[in-house]
Amino acid sequence: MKAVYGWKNKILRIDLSKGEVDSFAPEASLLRGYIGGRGLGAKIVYNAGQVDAFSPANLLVFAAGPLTGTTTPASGRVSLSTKSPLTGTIFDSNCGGSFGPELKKAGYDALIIAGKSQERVFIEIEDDKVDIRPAEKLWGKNVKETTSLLKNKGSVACIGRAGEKQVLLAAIMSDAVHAFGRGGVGAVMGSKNLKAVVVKGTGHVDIFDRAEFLKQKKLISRLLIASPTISKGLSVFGTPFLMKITSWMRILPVANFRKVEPDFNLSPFFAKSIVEQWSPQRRACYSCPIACKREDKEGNELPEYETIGLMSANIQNPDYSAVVEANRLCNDYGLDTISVAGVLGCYSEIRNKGISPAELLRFTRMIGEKEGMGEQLGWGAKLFSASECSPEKSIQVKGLELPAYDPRGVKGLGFSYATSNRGGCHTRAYLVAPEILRKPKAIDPYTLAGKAGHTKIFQDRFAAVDSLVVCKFAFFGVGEEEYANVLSAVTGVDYTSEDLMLVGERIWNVERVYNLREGFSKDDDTLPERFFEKKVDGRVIDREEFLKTRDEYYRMRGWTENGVPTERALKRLGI
Amino acid sequence: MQELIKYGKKIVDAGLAHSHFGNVSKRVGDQMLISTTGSMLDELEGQIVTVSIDPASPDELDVIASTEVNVHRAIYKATSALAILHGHSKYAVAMSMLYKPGELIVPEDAESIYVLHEIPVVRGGVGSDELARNAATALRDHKGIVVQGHGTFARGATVDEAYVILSSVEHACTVKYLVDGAKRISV
Repeated sequence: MKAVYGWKNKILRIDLSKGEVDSFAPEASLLRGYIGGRGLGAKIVYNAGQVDAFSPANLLVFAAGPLTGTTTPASGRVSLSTKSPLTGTIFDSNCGGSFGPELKKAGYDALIIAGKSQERVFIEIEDDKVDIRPAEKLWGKNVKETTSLLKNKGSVACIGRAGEKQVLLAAIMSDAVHAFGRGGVGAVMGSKNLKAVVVKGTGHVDIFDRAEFLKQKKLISRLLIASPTISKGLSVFGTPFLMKITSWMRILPVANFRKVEPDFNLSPFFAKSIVEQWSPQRRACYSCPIACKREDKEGNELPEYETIGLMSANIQNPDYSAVVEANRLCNDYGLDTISVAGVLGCYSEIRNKGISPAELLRFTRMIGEKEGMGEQLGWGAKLFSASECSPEKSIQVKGLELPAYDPRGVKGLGFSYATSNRGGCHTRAYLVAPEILRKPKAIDPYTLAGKAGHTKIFQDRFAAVDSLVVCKFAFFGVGEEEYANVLSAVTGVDYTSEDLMLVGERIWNVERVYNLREGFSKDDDTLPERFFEKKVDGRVIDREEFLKTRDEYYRMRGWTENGVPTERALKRLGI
Repeated sequence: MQELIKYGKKIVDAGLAHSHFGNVSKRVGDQMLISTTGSMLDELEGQIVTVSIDPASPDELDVIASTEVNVHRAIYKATSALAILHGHSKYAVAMSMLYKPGELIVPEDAESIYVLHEIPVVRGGVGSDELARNAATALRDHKGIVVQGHGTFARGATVDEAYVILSSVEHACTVKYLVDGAKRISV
């Protein structure tokens, strides 16, 4: 296959240890079989072998997809893959903004960064011109200032002070407000003495069949508008609309997942109140009609659902303004808001006290600066709780703090946390859609029955979606069929929805094999003990049922009873 | 809430809705209780949300409320209704497809004539603004309407009254269909 449509057929490689830059054409089967984004990144990181997360040999792989840089709705995202210093797993994180489209227009499907620079540097890319430049003057600055200083050169992905100091909760921020948020990926960048990557492209992405592309694009746009979750929720309120829904369902975690009944009035945190009090403006990623991001009248970003949920009731902070400020601090230091809130929830339980608004801001700064108690908190909930001899108080899976949905009330989502390849994450299977938002079809959130199959299908589905790289929110209204059709129109390679699901399954298995190679096992596919032992709102996860569901899930994946992919399963997937 | 749960079950038991289809609501001041999207009407326990009835004031829970929440809002705004029931009963749907939008189904049996007088047929896609407008307009002067190829909307001062209307529309359409068919055979 000559991949000249959709893909650029070119991967840029930078070795910071040697100061070398080169590029290569990937095998056609790599692009065809892994598409791009998360899939391409996973395969490249897997092939690099076993490394320590902070070793120069660990890679940072920024990967776009074949739809990136086209005007396909919701296709402006870009993926980052590496080994996580927080979880020790293979890790990918994707974000919106314009970094992905610029990378594609510059002529690259992906950028691989290896090695460690002796000096502090940033990378500047403008089409074929690639420079490794000194960053001494940027070092010590936070994200907003760094972005402001570099943005005339292109789209900026950078770390703040947290990444420089290799805080395990550090993020990489794209265009200042879009986060490669989770897993401490910013710390990996800091460990390489790399402050930022700036990319500008002047090219374009060739499309195989423009007429068909436009037809499919129009169909996708129409379906997006017709989706109630988008038209009545995301486009009207942004993600905070979920606050009222999770509160109504009694799945919003309170007091570090110890209950679901807050001690204070939650209505200031509801989207409608935020609209009334803050008059948010809509903000969209590249080529996205959903426009789910929100900013205040001065153009400052407002927090998303997960941040609001976890920085309010879960740490017993009753002040929305403090959440807004903490969110901005996290973005500026380059910190993952979910993990910061998760470790603060853990701290509050260990100390048996809530986190006041002032403490929320103070601790966030301390984590970002790696100062005082902030140093221990910056290890994440798993290590912090262990250091306090209270491991049972860390609400995490494989070291990654859980998002703002109590698994006892959304059991499929909980099961997907347990089996996630990157730890406690809601976006791997995104069962938020059927279990909470009832799309594409409502499924009973209060039972584990049937959830092994749902989890597998949704995990595979979103592994493929993350490889296109398309926003998950588009799938409230659009299915694999439509995106398979647009992918075919763009690339000239015939993809069906089944093909996409197979690609997703292949990616999931590559990630699984990576984690097994790192020493993870069946025992890591579980949830914090309290979800099996303590009821909230009359609900608990039955351990026996959970274990049976896990066995069923392994069987469905073609894995052994210990969760190891069989040779036959790997062969079927071409791994 | 218990009332909606009770009548949701009655609607399914009487064959006035099936599977996940149909929705029910009750007005309480400036708000309404309404069944959630994808819920089964005979299993509404824990499946009813409270949202504003003001069309200019969308609610976060609209996302999981019935997809026809906007139709309910428009009806509450245009009429004195305190309860709205929506079903997909067979004869009402069949009869709606034998009439054009804007036409009236005139019942044949005495009870339906007394209760309903006549049944407007309206047009509009599921949950669409067009349906909201047309249903609200038609329900100003009538207690029950049929959406072409879709189902019945019934309003009442109580949930019980709306249920009477919902079942009366189906009864009227059943009798009418049978009588019209019998007439054709006898001719």
